[in-house]
Amino acid sequence: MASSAAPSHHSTSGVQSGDTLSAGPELAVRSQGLDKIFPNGFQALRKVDLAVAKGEVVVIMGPSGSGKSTLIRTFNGLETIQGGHLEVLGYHLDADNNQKVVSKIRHHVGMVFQSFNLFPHLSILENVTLAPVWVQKRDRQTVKKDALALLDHVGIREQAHKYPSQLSGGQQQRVAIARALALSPQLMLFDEPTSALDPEKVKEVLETIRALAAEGMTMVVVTHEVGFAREVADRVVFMDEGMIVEEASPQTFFTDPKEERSQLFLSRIL
Amino acid sequence: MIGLALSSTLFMLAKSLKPLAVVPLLLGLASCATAPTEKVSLLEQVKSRGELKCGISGGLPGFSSLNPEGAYTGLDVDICRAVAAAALGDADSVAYTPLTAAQRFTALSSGEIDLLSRNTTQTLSRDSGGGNGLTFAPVVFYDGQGVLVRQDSGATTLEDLANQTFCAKAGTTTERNLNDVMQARGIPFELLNFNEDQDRNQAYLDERCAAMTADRSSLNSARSGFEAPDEHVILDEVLSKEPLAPATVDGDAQWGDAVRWVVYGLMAAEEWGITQDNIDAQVASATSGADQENAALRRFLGIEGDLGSKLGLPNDFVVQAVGAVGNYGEIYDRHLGPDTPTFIPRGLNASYTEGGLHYAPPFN
Amino acid sequence: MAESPRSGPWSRPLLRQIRRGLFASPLDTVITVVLAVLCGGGLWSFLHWVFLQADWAVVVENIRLYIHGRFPVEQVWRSWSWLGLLGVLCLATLMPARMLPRPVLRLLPLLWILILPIGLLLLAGGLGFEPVKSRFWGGLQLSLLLTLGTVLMALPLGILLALARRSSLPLLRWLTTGYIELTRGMPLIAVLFFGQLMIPLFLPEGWTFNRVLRAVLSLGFFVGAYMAEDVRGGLQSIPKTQLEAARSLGLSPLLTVALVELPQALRTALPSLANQCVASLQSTSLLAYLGLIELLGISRSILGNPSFLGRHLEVYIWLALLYWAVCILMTSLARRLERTLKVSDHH
Ligand SMILES: Nc1ncnc2c1ncn2[C@@H]1O[C@H](COP(=O)(O)OP(=O)(O)OP(=O)(O)O)[C@@H](O)[C@H]1O
Ligand SMILES: N[C@@H](CCC(=O)N[C@@H](CS)C(=O)NCC(=O)O)C(=O)O
Ligand SMILES: [Mg+2]
Repeated sequence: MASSAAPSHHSTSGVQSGDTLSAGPELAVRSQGLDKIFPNGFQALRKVDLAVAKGEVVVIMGPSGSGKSTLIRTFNGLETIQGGHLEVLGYHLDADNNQKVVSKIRHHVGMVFQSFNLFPHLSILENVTLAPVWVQKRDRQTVKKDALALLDHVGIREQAHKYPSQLSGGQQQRVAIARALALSPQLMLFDEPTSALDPEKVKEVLETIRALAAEGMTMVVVTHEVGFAREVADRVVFMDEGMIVEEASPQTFFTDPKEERSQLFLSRIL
Repeated sequence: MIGLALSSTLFMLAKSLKPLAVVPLLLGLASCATAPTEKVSLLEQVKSRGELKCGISGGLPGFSSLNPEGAYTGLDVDICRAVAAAALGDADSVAYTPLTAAQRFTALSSGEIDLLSRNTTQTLSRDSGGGNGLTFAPVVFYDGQGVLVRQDSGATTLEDLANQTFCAKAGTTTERNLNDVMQARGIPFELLNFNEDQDRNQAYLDERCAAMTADRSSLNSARSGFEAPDEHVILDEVLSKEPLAPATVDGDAQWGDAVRWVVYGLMAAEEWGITQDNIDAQVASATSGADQENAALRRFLGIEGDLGSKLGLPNDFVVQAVGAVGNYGEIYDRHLGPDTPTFIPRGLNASYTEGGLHYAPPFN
Repeated sequence: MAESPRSGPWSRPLLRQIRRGLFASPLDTVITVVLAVLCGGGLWSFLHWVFLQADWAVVVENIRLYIHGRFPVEQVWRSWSWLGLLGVLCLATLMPARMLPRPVLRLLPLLWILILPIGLLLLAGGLGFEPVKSRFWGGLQLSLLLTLGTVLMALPLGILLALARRSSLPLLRWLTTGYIELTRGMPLIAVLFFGQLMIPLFLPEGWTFNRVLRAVLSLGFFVGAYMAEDVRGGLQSIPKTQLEAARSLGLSPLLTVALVELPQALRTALPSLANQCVASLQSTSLLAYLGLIELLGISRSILGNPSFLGRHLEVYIWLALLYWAVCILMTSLARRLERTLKVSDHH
């Protein structure tokens, strides 16, 4: 796979949170003053402002429990928000998630989980074709062709008829990526896609994501892979205690973090 | 059997809830053409249906059981066949429904069967409207609770069994009858109860009890199943009255009458000496032979008068019935006679002319 | 030299194991000997009875009744056809999958559903077949029909109940929970009594409805409640992350249930569902106490035949054999299904 350094399509450093409300369609995600309070009263997100431009790759970092997962899960409606303003691919999400809007968003947003979450009762191919066939109601034969092409792309075409449990973790995660891509999403969300993998498998998955970035996919990636972030990210967002503490280009963030908490965090993982 | 207690509770519950039954009735009546007030007699229903629905036990030796060809046979079955022959001219037009003791009355009142011919003891509460609301036909078998003992025990009376153990079936009237009689006569005894016939029989065979008590008919068939039936005797003592009679629902006099007189017809035929074999000859003789002056016989056989029509039956209904199953004595001998494994001496079940209780009123 | 550790089936390790397991101490030896004598004696007298004392005429002469009940002789081929079809279907299901052509393999589940309507058509008649009233159904044929009917009714019912039980509508949830708990708290015999005795009593006069159908309905409603709990267990065992994956793929709640949750839940619940099926077969015998002439009921009627008085032991051993054979068949079918589905399971 092409492992060329991620090109910066946009001068994304200009996109800052707190822009005017008339943000154009070039924004994939725009959140303003986002609050997330769980039913048990715990506030996981506090007034989060974040904008992701189309074609941009944003890496989110932060200590465990800082709200990284919660944040990106609000982007495809897996978590409802309790306050603030959230717009994903031009659709508005609010406190009482409109099911119609949510499902529209999900048609265009792919998500990859830490634990792969493949469907164990379906073959690799069926995992990939499930949504296109049933959600997009596309023709089975073309879906199958496309799915095989996707699997080829992520390097596991030979395993198409096996079941998830017969694959290694790295392979499974690549299937999960193919599955998300099968809906031709405009935005991809990754929640620690390599954290559950053996070290030697991490590379193959990152390679896949990197290739995706090279093709210009808009992505929000929660990860602790510094090398990857350095190379691929257009921007690094650092979160702690439900708030965005620092936002910077990878270069700046890893070499010259401004905030004390960022420095502490980096000193631990670097 | 747990079922028995349970079902009687359910039955009582159902009875008390019976007023509720009008709800589906009201809901369903709109589509139901026949108004319940002008009810058609079951006799007419049977005739227009062309089939008699008869409830039987299905598993009582000598009374109703299946032969290897899949046909039911027995005394109870022959009563069904006689009624079908009388009403429809065809003894085979019977739909049999095997019923347990718990089900039998519901089956009758719900219309699942037209006629209950299932070793049912005639009692006041079953007859009365305040009870099960049945109409009983004449008794077809006088049963009674008896006592079975080993021959070598030498016992001939209940007194000989003082301080001995009796095996009986739990939850039946059997248990109470034994208590009543023994108490009245001041005989001390022990009781062992069982839920199943087979367990009771086995306990008796294993000599866990000196005597076994049940209805004489069932003692008899139990004994026939033993390895050495001759080593056991049924005492002459009778502890209770168990007159077994066919039954129909209350409030359908026409049907009740028809069934009653078919049964009487079988008994009267025995009194007349009319059998399945000689019935054709008898009819010929009464029509234009030696008996053509015998008005009573001619009426009985339906050659003269309209006795059958009065009941809503063909005038020759007795001829049909006897032609199909024989007279009462023949039926008895076929299922309970000396040549059967279930032999029970006729005793009370003989015609009154032979010292028994069967007595048909005049066919006038 | 001859005492090499692997010198045949009675090699020393085996002998040693036997010695250690059965004759380790004098007490062990005594227990072993006593048990062996008891078992051997019991077996010997049983075999002696089976081959020398028992009179199997009660089974041999009534074999047609045991299998087809009172089904009219000239139509018995229809009963045979159905039983034969059922047998072929069992065989096809039990055969190694690769020995079957793919289309047949795909049709199997459908055939298993169709076998009930086919059976009803063959047994009840219609469509050119002479009608045979349900009271002529009986024996093994009726037991199998009752079991099949019960299972095919209880399974969908159980699934619906399980889904309704975790519905977001409180009323639906309460109703199903109430229904399931109530039914599970009742003895089956009471439910069957209700079906056979009370339903006709509550129906308007002159309305009767088929006894076999009544039996299947009562059994189905009863078994359905148990299956609902098995399915619920299966549903609960699915990790929440599976639902999140389905939702983030845009699957609607209905599709999530149908494509992601149920297939996994049923797989997990399969062993207990199979248990319920076997239990259903055995439960059908209770209907003998309600006047149906299925296997046990027809035996009761056969035992009433004066020619076979006292032949209970023969009949009940024969019945045990029949029920056992059908149960074995059912469990091997279930195991087969489990194995087929296992490929995709987590190791
Ligand atoms: N359903 C929930 N109910 C209540 N609290 C929750 C719930 N889900 C998450 N939380 C809490 O919200 C906080 C943020 O969780 P989140 O999963 O977003 O953290 P994270 O940054 O992704 O951490 P990690 O690196 O461990 O994945 C945590 O303290 C967590 O305990
Ligand atoms: N004559 C008795 C008959 C009682 C009766 O039917 N007994 C039950 C058992 S308690 C029974 O099933 N008997 C054997 C049979 O009829 O098959 C009555 O009318 O109550
Ligand atoms: Mg997380």
